Amino acid sequence: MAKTRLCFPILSAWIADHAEHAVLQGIGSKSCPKCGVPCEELGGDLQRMYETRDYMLYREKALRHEPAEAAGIAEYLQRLGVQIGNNVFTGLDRVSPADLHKLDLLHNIYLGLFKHMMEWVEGFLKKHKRQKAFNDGWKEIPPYPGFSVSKKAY
Amino acid sequence: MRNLGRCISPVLASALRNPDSSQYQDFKSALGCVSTLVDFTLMAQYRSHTPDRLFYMESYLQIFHRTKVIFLEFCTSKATGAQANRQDRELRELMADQRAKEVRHGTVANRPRLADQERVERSDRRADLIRRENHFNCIKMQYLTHFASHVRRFGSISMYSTEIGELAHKDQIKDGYRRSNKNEAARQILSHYGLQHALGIRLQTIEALSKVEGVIVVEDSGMERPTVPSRSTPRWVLKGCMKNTSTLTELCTALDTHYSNMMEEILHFIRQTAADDRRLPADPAELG
Repeated sequence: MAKTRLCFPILSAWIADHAEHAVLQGIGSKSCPKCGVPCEELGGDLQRMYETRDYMLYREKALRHEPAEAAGIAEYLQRLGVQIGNNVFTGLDRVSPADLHKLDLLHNIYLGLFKHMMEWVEGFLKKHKRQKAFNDGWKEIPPYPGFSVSKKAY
Repeated sequence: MRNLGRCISPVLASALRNPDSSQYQDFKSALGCVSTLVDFTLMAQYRSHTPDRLFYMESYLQIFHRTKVIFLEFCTSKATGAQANRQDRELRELMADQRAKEVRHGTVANRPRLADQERVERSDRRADLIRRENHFNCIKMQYLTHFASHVRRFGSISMYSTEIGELAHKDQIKDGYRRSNKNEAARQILSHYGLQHALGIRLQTIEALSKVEGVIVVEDSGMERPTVPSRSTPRWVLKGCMKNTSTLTELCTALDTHYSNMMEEILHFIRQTAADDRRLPADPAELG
């Protein structure tokens, strides 16, 4: 006799870049999907731990409030950098929307931070008139396995 | 960009060599700042971590935040740049107005001096504004603070990179679109990638089967019984096979079948299934 098996898939990760996450989680582009850090203090204080975002609470607030409180709730959500209280993940069982976001090396480090870092370094080199030395060094790097040499100056 | 992390430190160090006494401190902290950031990112790419390494990562991040101030004047955001340009323009117009009023009283000799003063004042104001407005407040900086805790909870970060998905755009979508006739492209893209994938797997199967020890498969006829299997040559291991039969030769012995017959059957099967429209029979009895 055939057996019926029940299967309960649980969404545990959603791999996307920050802009996509901001839309999915219903937060502003300058808000962290994981924690409730204010947009003026991004990456500022390492010692300070910010509260993990509670998307269920936002949902409760957005859905079950009295009409008279609407303005207050909107302000509360805006203060937390949340644009939509009830996002696509909050209705799913056993899913923690704050944990769905996974850190991404490609956008965060290679395309994000390195790009910024090079802007700073370029500015610094320009100020101290060392651009030529940097570009010469850049072209002189010898090749090795897994590393292709750049022919151009940075 | 991935390679940049591996070579930026030595290149920068060589560019900043022989500083004079006024530059020494600046160069030292700039180099330190870049190095710690690069160390942090290189360590974030590790596939396995120990508590010590996570501690290193956190300490690199702390050092970076302590030394980043050296680059503060260069991290002008687009918004700040635009604001500075606007202020610059307004100031220039204001000064031009003033000059027009004063020109009646001033002498010709004073004009270059006045223009120089204005230029200096404008650049001072601009520098002031930029210094005031520059910041390291960006979401990428905030993500850096989550790296260590993310590793503790979910494992190495390289597993979650969007890199694979982004690279797949080229193979799976862009190539397919280029080869389509751009008319209802979605279906053509899907079938193109499906065909490529199926062909790839088929080629791998044929390649693997043709590598059976000592056997050289020549077109239709040429099949020879292999010589004594040697340990050095790679073996084609059949999965789910009988005991003590890890190669096709041993399987033939176990089944008491001639090796060339077996190979013929396999090649026959490959040729039969080569056409895409051939499917396995729906009736289980036909499958034997």
